[in-house]
Amino acid sequence: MKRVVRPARRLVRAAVALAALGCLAMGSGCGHSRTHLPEPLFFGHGPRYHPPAYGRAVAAARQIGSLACANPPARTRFLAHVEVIANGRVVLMPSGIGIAPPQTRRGAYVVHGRCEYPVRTHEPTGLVEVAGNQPVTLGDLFRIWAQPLSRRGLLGFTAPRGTAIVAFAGTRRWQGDPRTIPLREHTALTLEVGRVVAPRRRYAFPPNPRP
Amino acid sequence: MLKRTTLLAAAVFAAVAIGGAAVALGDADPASDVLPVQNVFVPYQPRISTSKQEELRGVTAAAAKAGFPIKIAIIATPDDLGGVPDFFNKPQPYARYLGAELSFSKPQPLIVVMPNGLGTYQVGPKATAAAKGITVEQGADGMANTAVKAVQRLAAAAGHKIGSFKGSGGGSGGSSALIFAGPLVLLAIGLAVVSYRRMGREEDELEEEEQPA
Repeated sequence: MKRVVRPARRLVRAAVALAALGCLAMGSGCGHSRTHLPEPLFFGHGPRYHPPAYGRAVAAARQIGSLACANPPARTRFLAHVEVIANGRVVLMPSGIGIAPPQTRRGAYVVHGRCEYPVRTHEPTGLVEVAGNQPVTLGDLFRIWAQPLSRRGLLGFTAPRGTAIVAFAGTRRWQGDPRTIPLREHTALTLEVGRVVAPRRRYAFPPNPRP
Repeated sequence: MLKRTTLLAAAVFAAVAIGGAAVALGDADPASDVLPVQNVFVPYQPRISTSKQEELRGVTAAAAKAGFPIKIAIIATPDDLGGVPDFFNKPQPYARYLGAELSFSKPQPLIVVMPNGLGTYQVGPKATAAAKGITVEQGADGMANTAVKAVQRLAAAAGHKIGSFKGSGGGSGGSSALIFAGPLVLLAIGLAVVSYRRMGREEDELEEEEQPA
């Protein structure tokens, strides 16, 4: 008896065979956990990728909008995470944002300063501490940081013509002005300019910041 | 029909290739941000005691002095991995990942300690072999102990002898020993002076009593 192979089945068979071939060719063993481990993304070179932690207003401990520099600092209410990527390279988010000088440092960490704003970083990992009860946004963080943030500008970078800054809250793309993104507990934000890489699915937050 | 089949098969192949291969995602592991500035990354929680942290800093400084510059990342929980928690208890893959991140300007030897084992990066074949026999002690300070021993053992295997270091409990002692010992020495001297004076006064009083009226 002659076996009849229908076109639809042939299609599925071809697809499965090619998929299997793909797995073998990559030597990755599809489905194995090793294949899901990410590849590193590198730091960018030059001062634009290593912006300073504060500007003149924080240096003078001046009030910024409705946010004041307090001593003793208000207790941290929650943590958020902000990651900045420019042209596929990582920008180091410094420790000491929102901490007025003179700052006491311990290695990579800023332990304390003259006073602290309710939005601040004690470590250079992108962990942002939010204190006090008033709602704060990503725009507040950048104002305290004294760095530009708009639809087309991010730190010292400008989005290429016809494109805009891409902001992700978790893996969801933020459509509006990035400055209006609210900083909430365990918000993981990725800001990108130029070549866009996929944001992390999640960020494992520590129970408390370090110092 | 053939064209459609080919297109679909190619799409499936591409999907599998993208899903299967390692994907470059946003960087977000805290150790990669901290280690360019310092030699040791310690867990958020449980915390490593101050003396052990000092020992870790001491051993890396001593190793660098001995010609074996190395950095240490101690990862106690997935929280220490931030955006790459899937690396937890995969010390060798994470050592490769973190090592590559840190080696952007020059190769950076590295030890990663996780509860289930050690990973190394760019330490050389002899040191890599030496790391295989090391078992990780329990608890945060236990992991720190393991890291200190690993640095010493790996350095020795690579032909670098590490001298005594700050926090090692011997040899150079360090500033913390001075801080604790200084007041004790002063107190002892003070007590000795007071006792000496009192003894002298008592002797004088005795002499006065013994003198005939």
